[in-house]
Amino acid sequence: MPIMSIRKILSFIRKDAIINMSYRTIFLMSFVRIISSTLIFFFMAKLFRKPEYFPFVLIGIAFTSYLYTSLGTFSSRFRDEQAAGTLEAMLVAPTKTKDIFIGIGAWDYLFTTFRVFIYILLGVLFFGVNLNNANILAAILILCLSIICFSCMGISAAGLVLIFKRMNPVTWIIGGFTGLVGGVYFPVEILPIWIRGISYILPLTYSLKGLRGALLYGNSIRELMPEILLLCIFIIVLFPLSTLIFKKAMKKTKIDGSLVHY
Amino acid sequence: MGKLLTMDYAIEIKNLKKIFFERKGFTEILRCPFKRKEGKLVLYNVNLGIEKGSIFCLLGPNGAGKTTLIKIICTLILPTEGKVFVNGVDVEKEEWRAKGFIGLVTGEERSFFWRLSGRENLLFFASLYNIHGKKASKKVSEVLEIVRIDDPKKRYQEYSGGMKQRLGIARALLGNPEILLMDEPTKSLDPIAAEELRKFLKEKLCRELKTTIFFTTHQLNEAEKLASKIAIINKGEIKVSGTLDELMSGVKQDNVDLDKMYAYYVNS
Repeated sequence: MPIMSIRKILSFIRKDAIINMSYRTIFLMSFVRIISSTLIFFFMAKLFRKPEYFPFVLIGIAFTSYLYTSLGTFSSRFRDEQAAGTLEAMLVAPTKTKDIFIGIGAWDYLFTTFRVFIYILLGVLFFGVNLNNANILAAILILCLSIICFSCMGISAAGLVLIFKRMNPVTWIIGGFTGLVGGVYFPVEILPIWIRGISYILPLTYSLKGLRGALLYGNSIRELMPEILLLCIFIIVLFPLSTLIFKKAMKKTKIDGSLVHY
Repeated sequence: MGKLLTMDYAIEIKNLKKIFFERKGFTEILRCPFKRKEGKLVLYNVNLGIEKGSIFCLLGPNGAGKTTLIKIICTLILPTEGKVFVNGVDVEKEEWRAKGFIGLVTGEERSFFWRLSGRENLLFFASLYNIHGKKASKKVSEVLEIVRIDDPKKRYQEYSGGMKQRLGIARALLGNPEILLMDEPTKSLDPIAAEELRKFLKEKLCRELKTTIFFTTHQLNEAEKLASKIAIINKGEIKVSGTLDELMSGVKQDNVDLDKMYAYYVNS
């Protein structure tokens, strides 16, 4: 990525950091939410006397936030910028739409990474999650592939928001299914066979399986190759598709003059 | 004098046409799913040439197509037919290059981040104009001085309407644009602030910095005071274009004043 693009993205991060931290209560409340959801699952694991459940679900809820960030950030932030009138000012500047796009989502990804770190830190320090055998390199590789894959879905969602304004069908469909069948709260293997089919077409299933394998069981990259390959296939299919959807949506909104309407 | 070439114009518009197709309602989709809704013609056969370093005014009533034309020039809307060139560059084919010549000022107050200060806002937008670090800081101070904002550390939400408008101009100047597009620039200003802005545009930007200014308005006195050339647009069609004297002399009536001239061309 050219240095100019990186500097522009850093400007977006700086701007969003100032804006978000100016809403102090909301900023602090997001940490309270992390603690409360961690506690809920910790005590659930205790209640059913299944100590191995807590690390499983902790990885699930922590890393699924990347999926929700990807699905939500581009579409909702694009809409926010449309509504605030700032999108027009950005699009008139000699900056590539790609850089504006990455910039708009950058802060949310950074903040999500920070939240995931807090989740894991809480789990390790206070709730006995053991990451001694973790294969960090493999986890980072799977996380990067997952983020690219989820971002592609987010880009498609943003394209649809540009056209439909309020509706965000991709977020509804994928967001709704992942909680149930993506392996966030329980292994997909316990689902009836006909629902399990859906989980196999969701990248989140392979992402979480890979991350759990790397972080909880210390699986090597070779052992995680099936998940890595499947995530790569998702990227190969989703990346051109999402780019096409977004480009078409941009063109359509430029033709009907609704690019800055909300 | 010979005919001017594309490169001699800051902005050249050739046979521009814009039709907006409205979205069909649910019942319309059910009734005729494959029939496209009839389009609304918002610009028709627009031909204009704006010379470099001039102040050009597009005058017309509300809904005449002024804002649509500005948005086509600055690449936010695609034309249905025709071409727009900015410094000889086709805005549709070379959007990226064309943007480098343009600065846009809208009458809208909602185009900044309300939780950031004026200075923070400009520093952010400076980065989008490829100005970073110390250069950005210097440039922001420079444009703030040009538009005379002396309290840039205040949050944008605390600015008055006039200050917001000035900040909008400051942002448009960040990239040293050769062409400044202004959509109803004095819309939210009181008469004194509006007069100050007009003076600033004429003396500082046009005379000193040699910036070409293309602005829209529906105020006759503004066009008279500021523009070297005026075009009157109504219902998407350019009715007349020329200097104020040329426009006045074209009216076939006695005792012509600005209002009469405007009404004559708008209704022609």
